[in-house]
Amino acid sequence: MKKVWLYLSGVAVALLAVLAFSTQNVSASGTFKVGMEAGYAPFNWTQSDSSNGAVKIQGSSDYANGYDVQMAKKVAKAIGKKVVVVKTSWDGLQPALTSGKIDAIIAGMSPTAERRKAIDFTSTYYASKLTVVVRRDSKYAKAKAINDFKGAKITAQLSTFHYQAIKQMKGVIKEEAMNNFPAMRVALESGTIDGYVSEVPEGITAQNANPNLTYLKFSKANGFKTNPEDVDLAIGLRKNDPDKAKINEELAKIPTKTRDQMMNDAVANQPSTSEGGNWFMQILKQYGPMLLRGTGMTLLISLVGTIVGFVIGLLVGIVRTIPKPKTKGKRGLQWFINWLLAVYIEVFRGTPMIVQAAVLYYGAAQAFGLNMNKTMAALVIVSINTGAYISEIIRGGIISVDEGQFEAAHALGFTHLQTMMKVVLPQAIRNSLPAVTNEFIVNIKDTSVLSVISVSELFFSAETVAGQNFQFFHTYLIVCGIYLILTFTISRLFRLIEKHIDGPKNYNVMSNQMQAVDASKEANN
Amino acid sequence: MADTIIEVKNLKKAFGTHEVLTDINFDVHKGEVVSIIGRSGSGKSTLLRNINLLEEPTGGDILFHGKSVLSGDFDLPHYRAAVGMVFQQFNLFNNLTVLQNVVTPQTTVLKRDAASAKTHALELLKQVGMDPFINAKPDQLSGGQKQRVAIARAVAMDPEVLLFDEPTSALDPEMVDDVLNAMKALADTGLTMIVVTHEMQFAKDVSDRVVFMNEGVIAEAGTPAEIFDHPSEVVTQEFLKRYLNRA
Repeated sequence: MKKVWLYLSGVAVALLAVLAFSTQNVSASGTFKVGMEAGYAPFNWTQSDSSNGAVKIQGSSDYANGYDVQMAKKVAKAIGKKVVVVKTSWDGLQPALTSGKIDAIIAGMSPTAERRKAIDFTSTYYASKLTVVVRRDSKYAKAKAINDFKGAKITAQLSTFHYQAIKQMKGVIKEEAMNNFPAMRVALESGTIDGYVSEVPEGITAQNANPNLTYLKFSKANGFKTNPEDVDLAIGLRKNDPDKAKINEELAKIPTKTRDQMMNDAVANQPSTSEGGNWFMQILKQYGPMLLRGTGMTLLISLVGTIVGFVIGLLVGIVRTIPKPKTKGKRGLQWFINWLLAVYIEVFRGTPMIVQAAVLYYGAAQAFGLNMNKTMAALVIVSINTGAYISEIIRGGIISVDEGQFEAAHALGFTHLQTMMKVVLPQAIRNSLPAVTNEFIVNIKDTSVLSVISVSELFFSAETVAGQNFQFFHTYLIVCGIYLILTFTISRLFRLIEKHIDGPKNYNVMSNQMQAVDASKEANN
Repeated sequence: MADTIIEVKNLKKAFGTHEVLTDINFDVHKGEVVSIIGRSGSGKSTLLRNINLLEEPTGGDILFHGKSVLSGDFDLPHYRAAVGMVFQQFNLFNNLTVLQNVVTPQTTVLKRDAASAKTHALELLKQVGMDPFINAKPDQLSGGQKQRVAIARAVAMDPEVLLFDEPTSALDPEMVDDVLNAMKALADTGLTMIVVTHEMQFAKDVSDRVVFMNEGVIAEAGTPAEIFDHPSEVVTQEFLKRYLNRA
């Protein structure tokens, strides 16, 4: 038992060490790190091979492609650097840029005044138009003007000007903004909403991918009034980026005709669902490897997080139950340490993990220039977070061990440490195991919040897949199955461990065996 | 008598404002069996728990071979190994088997090697009749069986003095004799024992000396014959009358 934990914690420490040293150098010269969602076709998407000039996604074996990627390649060439794509969730793009994790945002982003306060933008690299995506069979599919949507439930992506534009549509019911396009497409198809405001390229894509959806064309007079700064897409840069002039120079050389051609290529090349066969095999065939890697990452983070968290929890739990020392100085020190540990537990138990991840990953980079590999950041957050919970579980386990066990050990001459190691902790850990299993299972599910720092765990992978094949229900159903298999396997595995620790239910009576055999013989006769 | 092992001097113990031991003085000599009797709440168990410092005395002193156990530089684990204790509630280590319960303290505290600790343990478990159960866990045993293992565990440390805190009070009546017999056998080996007990017959037959406690003080002490046949104090007489009538 002790050996198993020693071994496991050794593995965990080694893993952390390897990851710590593999932390990438963020501002390596010669590379042009471009942040994008890689899930917003035709601007950017994820694919599993390098066809059509795709670029490898950093820290992954997948590739990114799309209008943004092709544009990034042109721009990078002009400033003599090589493109590296950093797959980043939409909300993570700005903090990633300002904290130096990426050098540019080329993600179909508009240079709004709001954004200009924090970051700089180049001139336009694509000019777009607003549209409304609706169900083909709905009455709104015949709308000719933005005022033809009376009573329609309309939404748009969170923190975009699309959402602001809903105000111009008279008589619509403005729904809560949504996080991403895949989610809005699901909502639209299921009838939760009647339409969402988007841009033409996205509308074309939605229509191509899902024949039930269509996008609407409005004449200039009947369409949305837009600020050119909004519909124009520009490249986001850090303030005072020395390359800005060079990039603008390069963009000026690309005429509208070339841009339209690039967009047509992107729409043509974007991944579409292959026809035929059943949906299950189709998704597995096309996206199996991506989902498998996501599963691997989820398992790695939750396993390491739970083991390291367990070690942290064990240490904190032990320290918090050390009896009061006799000398005043030691008592003061103990009070101080216990106070620190109490703060640790309260802070990490009392704040959401999604916030902790954002603060650690982006906050530390922005405030202290401390740059962490995102997998490393994920492991650290999950470990520390789990540690806070498990330390209380262990403390409870220690308290629940009968006082007589301590007394008997002390009366035999055990020191406090010996008492803990030989008698109390084995019982406390055994009693805590069901709760630790719970933590593990919670971790498997909760790692999904790490998509905020763009860790490609299972949920993030699922979002990418669903964003590409538009088979939301089917994709998430498969992912649901994967989560269930993981959690079920783990709960069974821990039951086995518990049984192993408990030992056999029956014991052999050593010297009376012969008598027992005789007795049973007699009973048979 | 022979050399004094433990001297208790003006011992006081209070829990908050509640004084349980007011002024206790008594000695324990090598090879002696001392029984402590008295009503529940008279301070018997508290006295025993103060002797091996499971409770910290609030006044007075305890000397072990003439040295104060309360002084800062005293080697407490060593002292506790030399002064064994058998509890009313057995307190076997629940995570260990019967054999491990007897082996682990030897290897942990006395640093004996595993092989000789095991030999020693098996020998003692055989003496208390628990050798068939060496692979059982404590929760698979009856109370009497647990107590016999606890006695073997304490004896395995080769203590100079063994303290018994009401060792048969938590047992079903039919199991009491097994445990008392094991204790008698130990007394016959010449082991020094202090026994807090309600078993008057045991106190009478096995002890060299009987101490009667009342309201936190030693009301009377003497040989079993003196205490049981000719008690001089009224409280002792009343206590014994009630006890013997009941029996």
